[in-house]
Amino acid sequence: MPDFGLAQAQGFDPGTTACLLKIRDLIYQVAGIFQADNRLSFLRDRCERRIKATQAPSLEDYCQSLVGSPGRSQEIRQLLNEITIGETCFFRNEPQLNAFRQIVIPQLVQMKSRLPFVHLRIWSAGCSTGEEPYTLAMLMLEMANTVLRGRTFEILATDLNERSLEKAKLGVYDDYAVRNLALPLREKYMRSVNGRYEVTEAVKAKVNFSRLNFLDDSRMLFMKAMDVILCCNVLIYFEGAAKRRVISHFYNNLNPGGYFYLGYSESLFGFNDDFRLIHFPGATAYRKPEREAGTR
Amino acid sequence: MTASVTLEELRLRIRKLDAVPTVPAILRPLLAQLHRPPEEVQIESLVGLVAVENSLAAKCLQMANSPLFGRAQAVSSIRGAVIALGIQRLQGILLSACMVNLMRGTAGMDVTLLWEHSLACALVSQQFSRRIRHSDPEKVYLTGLLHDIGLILGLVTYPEAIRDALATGRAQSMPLDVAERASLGLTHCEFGGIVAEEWRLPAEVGEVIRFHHAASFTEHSDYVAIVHLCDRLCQLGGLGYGYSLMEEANLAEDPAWPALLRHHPDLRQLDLARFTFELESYFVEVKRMVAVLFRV
Repeated sequence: MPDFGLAQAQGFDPGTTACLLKIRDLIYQVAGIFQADNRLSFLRDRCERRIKATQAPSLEDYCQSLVGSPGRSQEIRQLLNEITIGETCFFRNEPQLNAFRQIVIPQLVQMKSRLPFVHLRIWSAGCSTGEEPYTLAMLMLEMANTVLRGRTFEILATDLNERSLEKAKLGVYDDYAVRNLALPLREKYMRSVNGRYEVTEAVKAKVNFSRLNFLDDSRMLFMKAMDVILCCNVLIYFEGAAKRRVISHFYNNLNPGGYFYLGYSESLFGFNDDFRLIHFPGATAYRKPEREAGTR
Repeated sequence: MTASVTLEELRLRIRKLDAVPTVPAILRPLLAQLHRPPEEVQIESLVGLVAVENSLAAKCLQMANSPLFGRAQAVSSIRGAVIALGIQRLQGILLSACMVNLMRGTAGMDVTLLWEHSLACALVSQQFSRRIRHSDPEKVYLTGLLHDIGLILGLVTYPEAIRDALATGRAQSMPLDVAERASLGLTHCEFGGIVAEEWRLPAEVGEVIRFHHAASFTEHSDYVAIVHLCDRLCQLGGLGYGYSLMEEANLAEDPAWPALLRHHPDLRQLDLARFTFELESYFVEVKRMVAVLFRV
């Protein structure tokens, strides 16, 4: 039996394990999103959904169609949809947000401390229905009397989908979306409306929503001077040259020393050599080298 | 701050440990074996050592059956466990178990945290060394497992000072060795260095114990650089000493990275993001196994 490392601990037969590892590697190669061995059950579950939808006779056949067929790009996209679906909520990735609050913002403020005034620009790229930018706004409002005292900030939130943006601007959410939001923050930054939760005006005022297609080069060129860009589970929808171009736009739009956050287990490996991989406790991110810091 | 301790005082205290009744009977014969090259160690003599203590035999069986060690078939005898684990791994496990026995009666640190960190560091270092095609991943495993042995000796010989250092490190997000230096003038590296000398541990093990927190790695063997980097990865992954430093780490800019690159050009091709994501399943499994070993 081949050595599958920890994958064998998931209790699948060797054939299933081999297929899942093949699919896992293909997804990583194409989309840069990785499923660790302990998440193979999740991957199998998502494959099962697509097997039903495509009426593939077995996991082996499905795997074969993904790896070998010319139409794989479309099917991989469908599978990626299944993998990333339902991940949007307030305070989605706690280690990432802890690092944002405790490391990234203080570091940026420190870097800019020699400027006459400190203004931070944060971009939630692919903001969907608004949970991420509002989370960031709440976190930063909480810092208004500490590290951000006397400093200003703005959050730009863009998405391709008009309907998502309309919902985001409305700022009304159900229980499920706010499940990770600590009660004191919920009471402070949301009000109850007919059993749902609406983000307060103070939070809404900090976020500017607009529609943006990452492939629109002329508009991407105008998103300059960002300090942090968050682009979670969006790059997976781009491939090859287009993906490289979009990443390069993000790189150019960041200030030196700026931070680039991807989604959980998402990587730029093989798509960009300019960003530096950095580790935070329980999370990774990328950073534009700092050498030109403070010169703008 | 506790009064500074001199190396001579520390050496005397460690020598006196032989007279402590909690030192397991197998320690001396085990140390004698560690001095021999692996090919000269008799399997039967290791089986005999493991069989001395029921709890030790049970631990070895549990570890031999863990997916962490890639077993396809169940192991049910001590002899099978010894063969499955391999001589170097088993020696490390036995030595760690002896060290942990020493800790009984000291209340400075949760023993499971140390086991989790040591085992995780051993496994991560081994995996890392395979990726960069190091010539002896098994020995790398042993050095990773024992790198913090000085911390145990510190807890036994100067429990109060080490407890203070751990509390300070946690409260101020300070590296443990820095907190130790402030608390008693020595660090677990120096504690461990004396143990390695007194007990004549293999040269690579002693070197890693002494220098894994060094500021420069060019003058040390690659074992030191590997364990240093993997120690950081474990801590960033939440398997430290019960606390995570709120820090940003760029491992490619760590002095250990270029030192390692000199002899291991494959490091240039390593996808560190993916390697980090892969560790998640190792950490989950390490925690699960340590919980079983200690019935948490």
